[in-house]
Amino acid sequence: MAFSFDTVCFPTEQTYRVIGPEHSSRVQGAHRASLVASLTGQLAEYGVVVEDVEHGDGEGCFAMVFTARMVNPLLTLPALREFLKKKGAEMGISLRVQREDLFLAMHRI
Amino acid sequence: MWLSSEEIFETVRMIEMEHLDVRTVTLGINLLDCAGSSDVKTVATRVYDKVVRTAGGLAAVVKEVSDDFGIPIVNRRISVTPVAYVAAATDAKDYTPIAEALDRAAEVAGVDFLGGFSALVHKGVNPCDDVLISSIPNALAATQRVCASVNCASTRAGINMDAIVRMGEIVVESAWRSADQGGIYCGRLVVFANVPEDNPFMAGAMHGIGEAEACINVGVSGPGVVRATLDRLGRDCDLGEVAEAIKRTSFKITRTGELVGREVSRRMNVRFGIVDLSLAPTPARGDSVAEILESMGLERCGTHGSTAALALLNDAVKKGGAMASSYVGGLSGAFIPVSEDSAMVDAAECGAISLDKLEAMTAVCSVGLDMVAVPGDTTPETIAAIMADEMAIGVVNGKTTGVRIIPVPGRQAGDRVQYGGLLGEAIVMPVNRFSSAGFVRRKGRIPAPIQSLTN
Repeated sequence: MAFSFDTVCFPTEQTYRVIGPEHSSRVQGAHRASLVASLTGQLAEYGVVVEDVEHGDGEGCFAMVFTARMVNPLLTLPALREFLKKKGAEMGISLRVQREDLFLAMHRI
Repeated sequence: MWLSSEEIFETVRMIEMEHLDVRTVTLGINLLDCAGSSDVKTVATRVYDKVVRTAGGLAAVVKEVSDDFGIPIVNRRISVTPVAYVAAATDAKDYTPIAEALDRAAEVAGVDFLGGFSALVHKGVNPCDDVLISSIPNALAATQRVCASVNCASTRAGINMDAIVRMGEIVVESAWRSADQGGIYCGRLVVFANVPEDNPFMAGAMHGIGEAEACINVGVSGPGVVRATLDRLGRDCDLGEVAEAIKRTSFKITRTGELVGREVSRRMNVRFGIVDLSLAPTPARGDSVAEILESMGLERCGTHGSTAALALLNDAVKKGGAMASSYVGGLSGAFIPVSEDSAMVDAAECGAISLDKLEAMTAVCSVGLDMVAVPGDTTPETIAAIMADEMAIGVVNGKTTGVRIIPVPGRQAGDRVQYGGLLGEAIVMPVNRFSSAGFVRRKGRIPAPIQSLTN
């Protein structure tokens, strides 16, 4: 199976991205729109505000990148990571979160 | 700031599939303020208290940072001021009590290894160095976490052959003290030329006297990520493209290491030291420097072309890493420890690599003959001569080299020895059957090499 992602979210300041592997065929059309609505809603309830969404097909799969900010001061990143893992399992996708500064350190001089 | 999907995919792939990690976060601690008493037990108590006080939060902070970034931090370790300095004012004839105090402190701090039971004797041996060297077999036997190192040569001083001969004897004694464990005490003992004072990797880590009160030094990710990069590149591109790909990967893993290290440093309120660019393999499959060389097209690591391939790798890692960080230090090169690299063990077992070829390869990479097992009946003079050869490579080329060699009691060339854990397993390699005793027994100091006329 080709390595693929379907949903990438990430939160700035504490900005992250949530990410997950999935075949593109499983995330198409209306399903994509409903994923965005569902995820942004659930993240908001958890104290994470989605500020931007990008999506596209890459490495053989559909990927979404949510740029998000944690507004709940009591929320920790490991807790958010666990929450996303559980939600991803429920939705049949996998979700990951990474601090934005990691991406910037790696890919920007 | 905008990031492309490709960039995000790449980062996630490196973490999820290619085992991007931070190999070690090492806290360096100055112990000079623990000296001053003539009673070694008093010094040992001060040393214990200071290490526990300074490193008490290390394990928790490292875990927090690892969780926060979602990046595994494989090892957390401690390096201390060379103990020969710390114990110099004591009247002790054995510094083992200090090693025991360090061992207990390391356990409390939750680290697996602590480096710095060390002396620097590249030009001469003073009384405290003499006691420290004599104490090494006892100290290694009395502890589980303490690592010892002795710097016996430098480009400016030459090679102290008195110390080299002595270390040949210490290595053999240490091996026999752990004969029932395959001579494993020698896995915590290194002899260096041009030892760096900020090396975060064991067994040669120390916190040099030019260092700050405390600092965080970081070792970057292992070879798995680089190998995955080459595998994706395929076999058709030329070696210039291979070097470019390694350079780019090295940039990314160095940035990751520095980011993580600076965050640990900030949370511990300790100065950030350096990023060590060394690719350090582990016995896990896929985490091998030898496999990187084989990905470049060598049938087996150790065959003709291996030195050139390693030179390419080492140089590209340094170029990418030096671009990524202004504070590069430590050993910063590819490690080729035999027992800790599964493909290197395979190469030794099938006869692709020999001690002589390993020695040649150390001329173009850090850090020297590392975790090399030799027959148990190898004489101290032969061990000293092997060390002297390696010191010569370091001294003449102005680079660090080291020797971590294990004469395995009761074993012969070709035997397999299991050490377990990070130390892996070793194939006992044959040594030259002709004697070097007449040479090394002359002792004295091989003069520092000329620094001009460089051909």
